[in-house]
Amino acid sequence: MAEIIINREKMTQLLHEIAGGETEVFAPVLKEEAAYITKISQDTPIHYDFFITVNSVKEAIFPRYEPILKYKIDQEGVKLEDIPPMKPIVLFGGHPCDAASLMLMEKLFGWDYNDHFYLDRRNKTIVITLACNEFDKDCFCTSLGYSPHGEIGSDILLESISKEAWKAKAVTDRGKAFLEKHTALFNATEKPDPAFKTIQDKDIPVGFDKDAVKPWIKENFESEEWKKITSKCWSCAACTYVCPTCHCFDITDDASMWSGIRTKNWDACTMPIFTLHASQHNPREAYYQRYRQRIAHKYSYYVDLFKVISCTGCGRCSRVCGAGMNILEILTRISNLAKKGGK
Amino acid sequence: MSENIYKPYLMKVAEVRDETPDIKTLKLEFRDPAEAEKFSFKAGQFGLYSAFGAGESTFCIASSPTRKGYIECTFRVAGRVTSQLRDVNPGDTIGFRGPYGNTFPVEEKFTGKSITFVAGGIALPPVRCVIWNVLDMRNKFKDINIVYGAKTYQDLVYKDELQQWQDAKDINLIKTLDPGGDKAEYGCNNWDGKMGFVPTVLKESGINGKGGIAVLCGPPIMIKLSLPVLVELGFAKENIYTTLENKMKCGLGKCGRCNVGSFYVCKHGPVLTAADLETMPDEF
Amino acid sequence: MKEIIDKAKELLSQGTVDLVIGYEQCGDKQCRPLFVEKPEEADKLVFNEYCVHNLATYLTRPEVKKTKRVAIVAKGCDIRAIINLITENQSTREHVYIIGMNCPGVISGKAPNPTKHHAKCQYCKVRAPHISDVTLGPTPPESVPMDKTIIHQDVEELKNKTKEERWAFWKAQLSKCIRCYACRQACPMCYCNRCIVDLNTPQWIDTRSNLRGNLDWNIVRAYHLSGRCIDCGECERVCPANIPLMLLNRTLQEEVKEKFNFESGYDLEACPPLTVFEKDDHENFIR
Repeated sequence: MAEIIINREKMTQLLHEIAGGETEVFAPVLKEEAAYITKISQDTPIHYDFFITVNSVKEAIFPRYEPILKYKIDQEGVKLEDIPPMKPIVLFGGHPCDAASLMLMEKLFGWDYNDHFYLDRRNKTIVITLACNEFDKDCFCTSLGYSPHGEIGSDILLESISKEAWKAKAVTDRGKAFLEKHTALFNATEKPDPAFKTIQDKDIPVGFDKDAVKPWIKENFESEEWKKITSKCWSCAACTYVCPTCHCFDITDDASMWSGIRTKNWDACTMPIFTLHASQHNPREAYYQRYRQRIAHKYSYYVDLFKVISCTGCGRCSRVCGAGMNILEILTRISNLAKKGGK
Repeated sequence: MSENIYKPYLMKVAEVRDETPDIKTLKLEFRDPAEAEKFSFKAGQFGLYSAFGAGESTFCIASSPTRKGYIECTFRVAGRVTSQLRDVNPGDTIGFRGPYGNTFPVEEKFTGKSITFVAGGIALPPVRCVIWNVLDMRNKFKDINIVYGAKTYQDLVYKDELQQWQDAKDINLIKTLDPGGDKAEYGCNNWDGKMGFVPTVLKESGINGKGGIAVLCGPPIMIKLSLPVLVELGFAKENIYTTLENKMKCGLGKCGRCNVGSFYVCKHGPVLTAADLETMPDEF
Repeated sequence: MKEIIDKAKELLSQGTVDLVIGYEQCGDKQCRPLFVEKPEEADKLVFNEYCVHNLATYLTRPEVKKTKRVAIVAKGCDIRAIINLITENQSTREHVYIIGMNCPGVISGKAPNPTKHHAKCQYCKVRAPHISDVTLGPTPPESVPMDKTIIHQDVEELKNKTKEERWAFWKAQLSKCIRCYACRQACPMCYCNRCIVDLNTPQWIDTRSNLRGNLDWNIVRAYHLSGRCIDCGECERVCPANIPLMLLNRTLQEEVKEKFNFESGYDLEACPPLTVFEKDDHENFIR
């Protein structure tokens, strides 16, 4: 089959065309010197010269806040209103670590009760992923079995052949249909640039033993080591909100006398009042308990429930942390302690 | 269109009862008779009750599943949602999502045995649903003991039902108040129950736990002190049932708030045994 | 820096303090906070132009408050925060052993341009610490005189815009906020046990990251800081959405200077004007 090549100019044209219709398009946009995945309109400039976006693709499928119920209150009582069906989405600009995270989140949102807000949106999303050309010291996808040019979770994988062009590979039937539908734009004539460097799995060395983390956490839940690991953390939610697999949320009402809307909003287990009871008892009152919960949930509890670690090694949490916490360092430390049999 | 799991049933408030100055019981009926027909639950399950405009709050279903057509909830006024629920009148509409959670294995494991219920203060409602479930099938069980106490006379919930259980010939009710809780200022007139904390009174009760089932619910400190007493009385750890409470929002296992280790109170609980408790991290 | 390591070892081994909070190197162009409890751990301590964090924010943590005494490596701007915490009764002068650092300026540390010096350093009045238990480090360049009124260029530019332009600007900037509260947690002056945004009876501030909630949150925080903000710029540095928070805070700092002739954090005896009242305060706003 002929190679399917697309360049930046045609990609911008494609995304702008689609954004003019019913479909929502999310793509990287430059804001104050950094790239963010944002919903775009027909004329939003799309940014391509970035290593990784600050935020993750989860914004597109699990928005920061969304209505889950609307109601009206009148003399006769309460009337509930349906939320309109989810719109289709084209999601461009994530890396393989982002695409993989979508598969992980599906497990939770489909656990016994189907959260159609997430699942319907996910099913209506075309994921166009950019294979990685760079990495930094905070990346560790390979330590978790993922790859800088992995296909899991994507519909179309774009691998760079030169600075401004990619060859496109359909990973799923949905991706194939998309390529066929827009074949006129996927016919750029750029030739591969032999000098252009891409990265392979071996370039990102495995940093720690991922299977050693859960047993250590189970056996050392009360270890003093947690206080040492977390002493700097100041319990904000920056790591949680940029993380592609963090999914905690709050449900709040916003209403007047006569009508209201109930929304699902992002929340974070790292926040001080996340587990505060009405009786004022707080099972996770101390900073180290909350950070321990975040790591334990991703590397231990999620594994108990769904047999998979809820992390794809994108490293965003480490990059965004103002206090200098580094998850790769912590996991490496735990893995080393586990090997030594230490506490 | 896909089903919205966050959509509540609309419930009519049929009755409002003041149990104590800050605890209320609401009797709720389904506005839609078709929903009332389809609805069923088992003892131990909980739901999320909406005060439209304020939000949702989690309480157990305090009525027995043997009684069809309505559900009851009992709550203490403690925050934004419960403050609005406090002000509802019969005829008003509130929301209900449920039933969620696992259940007490009443039919599967309790039948043919003696059951001892131990509760303190506001923790009686989740136990009460099992009590009436059991009493509605009285001949399937051996002895029934109920040990219930509160800080003061004013804080006792379900006062009329306590009287019914006291008067019944086939129930052993031991009620108690904390020392000083029987003063007249608490509305108390001739207290004829015991004086002392629930764990202490339980210890002196002479109940024989061998082969029996215990259902225990109370504030964390009461559970901590009563568990060893129950073991002393002869109850096996896998036969001591308790119901956990943790801060919840979705009730569906998605919002990530109620877990104790990998035990999600809303999915794997709220009912669990003392044997289960021992395997969980001390994060409660 | 050897001086800091030696000092920390001395303080810990003599039992003068149970904890030293300082900086360690964690990358070519990156430093981060370090908690040192034992003398042998002090070898990691450094001080250089990448030591941008304001460590005073750790002074209000319960486990730090419980120590017998804590030593903190502090630049002049950080010491302003410590002074404010003392005047607001969140700490005491006796509890904090201030290891003051002579500081020629720090780098704002924000990727992808980590070589840009912090805006605040150009007009710093305390390059040599104004209050400390010991001062370390080579003599820095001369500080800006204490009585100079600082005019911030970006604030002036903003003031010159029309009301409509300013409103459009702030709406665009604050709609990026994701409500992670990194600004609040990084700020040494934000130490309330229960922040206003965490109260729910009534819910003063919408917790959703919509425009209304974001405007309420950021404006209320700026107001709660007016007269108390010490211009360390940590909030802006840690913001994942790159919102120019210091523009808002500096605007209010200029207002406070103009109306009350006050700059916070230089004087242990002074009190922030919006937290105390005197009998002769003007009352011309009561009509």
